[in-house]
Amino acid sequence: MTVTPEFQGTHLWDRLCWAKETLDSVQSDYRVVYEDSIDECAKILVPDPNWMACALQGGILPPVEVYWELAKDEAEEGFTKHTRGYLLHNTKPVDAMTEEQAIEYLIMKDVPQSVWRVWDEGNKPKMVICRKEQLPGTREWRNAWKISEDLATNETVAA
Amino acid sequence: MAFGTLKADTLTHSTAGSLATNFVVNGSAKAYGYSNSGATPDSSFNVASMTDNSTGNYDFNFTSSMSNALYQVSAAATGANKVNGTSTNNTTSDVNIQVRNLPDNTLVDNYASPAVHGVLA
Repeated sequence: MTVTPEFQGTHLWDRLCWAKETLDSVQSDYRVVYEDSIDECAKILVPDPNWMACALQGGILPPVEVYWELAKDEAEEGFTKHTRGYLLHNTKPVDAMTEEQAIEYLIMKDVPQSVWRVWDEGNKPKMVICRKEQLPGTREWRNAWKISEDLATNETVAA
Repeated sequence: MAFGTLKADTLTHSTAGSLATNFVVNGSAKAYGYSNSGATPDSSFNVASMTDNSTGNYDFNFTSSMSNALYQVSAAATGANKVNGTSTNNTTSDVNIQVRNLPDNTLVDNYASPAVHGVLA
């Protein structure tokens, strides 16, 4: 079993170099389907296999709240560059996650907060976690993909 | 040596001259990706996830953020008459790649493979 070095204080990019060299990538079958505009088709979030390996290993990735802090900084008027990048490198890394916990982390990192914070407020879900094989088999009508109107927001399992 | 550290400010070749190592560090690609249409990742570094926005329109979301959004992106498409381009919607946490058909400039699904150079946060 590979033991993660003590990475707190090590630049996150250097940790990724270690992970790329040391860990086997993990291909996840989970996909996150979400809609952030009623005028646009659904978007599909796909986990990266190297990132998933880091999440399952533990001790590498920073807490997701660090990304929220950086996003807040970037949203400030007059932002030119990050001055709190040290949060990525100096904050204690998160422990090993299950694949499902990793998907939740990824949603909170890479899906707009305007979607995942209110995913179940509306006539249908704004976001659905599914398996790759549950997506349409071809991309011929990709720009028309939408989350089904038949899904209810109080359902936790899609049919 | 696994995870060893070599500290040096300058690399010197016997005949070709010297190079400050900050050029090596700053000149390295900080992220790269290679994915087929549908944003299924095949090869990558410093990518947490990919977002399949629509036909020919993909985001690569970074794990280690860039310092600012003014980084340089090199991208290539596979196949005849296809070209990768980036949009002005890039942020410090993701780069947008669009694959277009050269004759009519329409977005098309194809391989996308960006490399990102710049300064990390």
